[in-house]
Amino acid sequence: MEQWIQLTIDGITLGGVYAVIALGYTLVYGVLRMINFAHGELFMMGAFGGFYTLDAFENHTTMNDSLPSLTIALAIFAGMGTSVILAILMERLAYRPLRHAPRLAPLISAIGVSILLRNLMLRWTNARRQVFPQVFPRGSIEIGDVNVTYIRIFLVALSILFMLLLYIFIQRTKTGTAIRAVAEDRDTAALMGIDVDRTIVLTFVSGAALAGAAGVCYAMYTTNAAAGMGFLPGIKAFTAAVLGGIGSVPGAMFGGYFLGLSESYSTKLIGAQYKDVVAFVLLVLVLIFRPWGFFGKREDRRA
Amino acid sequence: MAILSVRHVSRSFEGLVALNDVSIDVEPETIVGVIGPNGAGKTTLFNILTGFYRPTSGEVWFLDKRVDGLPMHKIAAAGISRTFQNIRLFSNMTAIENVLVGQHLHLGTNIATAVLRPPATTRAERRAVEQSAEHLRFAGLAGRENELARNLAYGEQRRLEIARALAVRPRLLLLDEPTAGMNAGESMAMMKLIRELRDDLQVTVILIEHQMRVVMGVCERISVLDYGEKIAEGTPSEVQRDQRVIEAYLGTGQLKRQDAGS
Repeated sequence: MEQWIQLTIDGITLGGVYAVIALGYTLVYGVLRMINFAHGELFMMGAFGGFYTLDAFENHTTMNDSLPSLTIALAIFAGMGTSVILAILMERLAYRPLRHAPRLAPLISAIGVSILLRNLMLRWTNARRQVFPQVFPRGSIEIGDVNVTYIRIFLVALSILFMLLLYIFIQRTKTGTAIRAVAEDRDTAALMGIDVDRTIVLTFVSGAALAGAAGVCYAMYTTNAAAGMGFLPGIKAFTAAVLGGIGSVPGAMFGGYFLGLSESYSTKLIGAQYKDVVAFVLLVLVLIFRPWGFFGKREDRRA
Repeated sequence: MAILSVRHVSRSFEGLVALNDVSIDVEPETIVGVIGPNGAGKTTLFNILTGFYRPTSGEVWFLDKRVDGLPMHKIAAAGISRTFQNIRLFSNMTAIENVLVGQHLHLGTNIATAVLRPPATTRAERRAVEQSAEHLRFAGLAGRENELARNLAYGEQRRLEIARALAVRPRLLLLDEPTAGMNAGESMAMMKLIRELRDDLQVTVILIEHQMRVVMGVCERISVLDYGEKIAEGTPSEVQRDQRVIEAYLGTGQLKRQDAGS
């Protein structure tokens, strides 16, 4: 029994990370009808942004010992900032010039950006994993017979907090309303006085901020950062977004948790070595039987 | 003093001339009709006025400012709004949300105020909702606020487009076939609404319309386009007597244009 509880907690932890990354895919898809395949690299670059910030501080101060929470916050904000700046550059240089090109062109461009960033970081780190500074207090609490580490609780809580903030942002703010309007009909949104280009940039920024924060937290959790770390979580979060229905915000959240839990349970039911296979089998099944996902709308072909 | 001045505007698409040297002046608070056979360039004209297309040559002046070439959202902010021939609502939003999209731009809610909800934000949002509800009432949609746009009846969707257009506080409203697909009773109600837009809200209206009863009934000035050129202009009765207009609609000799008046 406690094994199942443990697996559930694992699944929720991982699922939260997937969900937060998946939101970035779904938001960008919503406004541009394009999959940003470099989104996983934003996650990775965020982790490095946090890593190098901590690295710079570690040598100088004892802040880490006295104020762990401040250090953690600093790392997360640095990660978010790194990803946001990159996302702005990415949109401006790699996607906007292709706005009116055939749909395949920005997709190829995105894959190019992804490869570029990954290889830049491989070069920069000499292809070595960087051990992430141990900033998070070790320790755990017992829930019944199950041991839950602090970092896990933190990860679960933070992902829920971020999703809540994003939901409020999309539903209740001026920019969020603009994003929803642009997602539905770009020209009509412009007619309502919405600056479409600016809204598209802000959509990238929102997704990147989430990816950056997730990257730092994930690196803290796995205690290392590497150039290739964005690939699997990125493609799994993409799966989660498709699972929930690409373009749908609640769908991405649902998809993330669904995938996290499926993966976690499958380690017990099928075997840990098939964990990654589960995600992609799910992706294939959804694409065959319900390509619009659980929460998505059936998209009519446009003339 | 014209509120809108279209000066020698031409627009061609890969060699095909959609508008050719068209000039139109619109006086404030008038209701102007643009008529002409299909393909005459009426919708192209609207698309140029709202910034969806740039003119190939010529200028558009609105409220003493040159607006051709400005991005669409800047033209909207300057005070030009429109509706579409094929209705284009935010179909997954409710009626009031559709109107609020336009309103929201006058608010300034950011993530901090959305979470912390200071009284000023709450007040501003309540005002925006009230104003949106007022626009809906004006367009005859009281009681339909929370219905999803896609679930509204056809005539209601046309009215919602007008309500939404009002949210950006336009001085000039462009209506593209506002009575298309409507029966006689619905058309009458729409004509009444168009007059109220001008009389009560002091909005200048330009409409594209095929139903002659509507055009003659509600417009004070009419411009006639044919093959991208303005062939006549004047009051409804002047235009009705114009020889070139009669030819454009009925054709000369044996050739009758199929789409005339449809």
